[in-house]
Amino acid sequence: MNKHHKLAARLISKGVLVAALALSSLTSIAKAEPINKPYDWLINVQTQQLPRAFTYKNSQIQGVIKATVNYQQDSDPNKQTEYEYLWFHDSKTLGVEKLHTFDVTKGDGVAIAVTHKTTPTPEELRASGNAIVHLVLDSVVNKNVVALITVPYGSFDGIVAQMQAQNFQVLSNAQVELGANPVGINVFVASNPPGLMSQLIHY
Amino acid sequence: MFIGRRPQPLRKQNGNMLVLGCFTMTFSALIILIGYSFAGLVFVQNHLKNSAEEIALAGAIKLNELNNVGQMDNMIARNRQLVYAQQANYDEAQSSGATEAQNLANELLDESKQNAALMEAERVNLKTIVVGDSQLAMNQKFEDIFESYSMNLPWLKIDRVSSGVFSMGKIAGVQSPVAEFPVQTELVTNDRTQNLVQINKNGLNVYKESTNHKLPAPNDSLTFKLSSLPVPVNNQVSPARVVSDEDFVQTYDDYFVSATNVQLTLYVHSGLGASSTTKIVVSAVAVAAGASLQE
Repeated sequence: MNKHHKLAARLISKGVLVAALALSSLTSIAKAEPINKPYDWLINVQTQQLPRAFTYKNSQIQGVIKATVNYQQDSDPNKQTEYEYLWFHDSKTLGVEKLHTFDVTKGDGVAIAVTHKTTPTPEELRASGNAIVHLVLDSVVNKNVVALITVPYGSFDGIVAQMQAQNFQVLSNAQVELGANPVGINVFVASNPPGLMSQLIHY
Repeated sequence: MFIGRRPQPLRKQNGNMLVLGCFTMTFSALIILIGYSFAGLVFVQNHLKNSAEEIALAGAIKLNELNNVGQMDNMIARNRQLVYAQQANYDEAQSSGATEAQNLANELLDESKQNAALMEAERVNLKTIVVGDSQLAMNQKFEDIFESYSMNLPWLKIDRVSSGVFSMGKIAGVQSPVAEFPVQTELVTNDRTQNLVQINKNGLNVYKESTNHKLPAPNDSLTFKLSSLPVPVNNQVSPARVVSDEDFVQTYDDYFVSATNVQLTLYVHSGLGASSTTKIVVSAVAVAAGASLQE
């Protein structure tokens, strides 16, 4: 293994460690345990189904999912800023309503946490994946590192599949060992409760 | 020899009171009949006006049934915001020089533009549906009433409703149901400069109706058409209702219509003396229900 591969492996293993730390910190919020987190801001995404939207005959956009996004500085979790609403039909983004500018401090680390209002449908999982991709881009453009993305345990596969459909590739340890180039937008997706984790990269 | 007053001639027993009485009764009956006929005409005119309003309302209800048109206008405006936001991200990514950010930004920008085309196609599809449904509802209501007017009396004959003219349009002065989005300030400046927003003193600025709200270049080829529909005020949605004829504007463009105009014609013939025909024409305008708040 040449030095590039060793560097990549160290980066990946560090990333996994960071993700594991971040995940444990997210779950420890409920237990109120003090812990150093690798992110400074938390972006919350909650999705819900809108079954009464566009119910006219031959509608190609019937069945809309709405994602409500807010962010909070981790040091002040009681102060949330409503950021935007996103609407999706299946995996297509129909529209956005910005409620606030993305005033996350440049350079800070962010985490994205996805929840669903009710038991999600496959369409809602696709919409959730797309919402994550949008927020990843907003963060990257704002010079923020996306330290961790958490999704409900039962939604993990569907959301990761949507991110893959949007050209995020899942990296396996085997790929790393074979010399996969980690230069790109790297994100770690983990389930809540823990048990599932994937590293994805968009080139 | 008879001495005394000459007997007076006997008074005539037959006179003209009976004739006078009959003539008076006949004349009175004629007056009552004429009065009844006029009252009948007024009643028919009012009844016809009510029927026109019913027909117009039946059509107007279909123009924004289940808030489909309100939802469409609102989502088109939000789709416009999406394209603008993704263009801004793309421009930022380009200036940063980070290839991976540029690639992702380019993908999301392309997706947003494709979905703008999808929304425009759905808008056109929905317009065809609502106009068809509205026309059908008005025709059905007309068929229910047009035979009910005919009446045949010796002194008065009312035909069935001879014609109904239905047209669609909007109400003058009613803008789109979408309130201005204030966060993307450069877009706000652009929209106000391009006169795309109606500024209202009460603070509720709305995007203008019957306008293609083009984005600045390079996305100025995309279509974002918003139509006239009452906006919710204080979270109250206005119901479909009859409004004044004077405010109706007939339209022929491809924007959504939000009002119906119905004109009904009825002929009434009088058989008293010289026969005469009166043409009664009434019209009514109804407006669709306003848009609900975006979910």
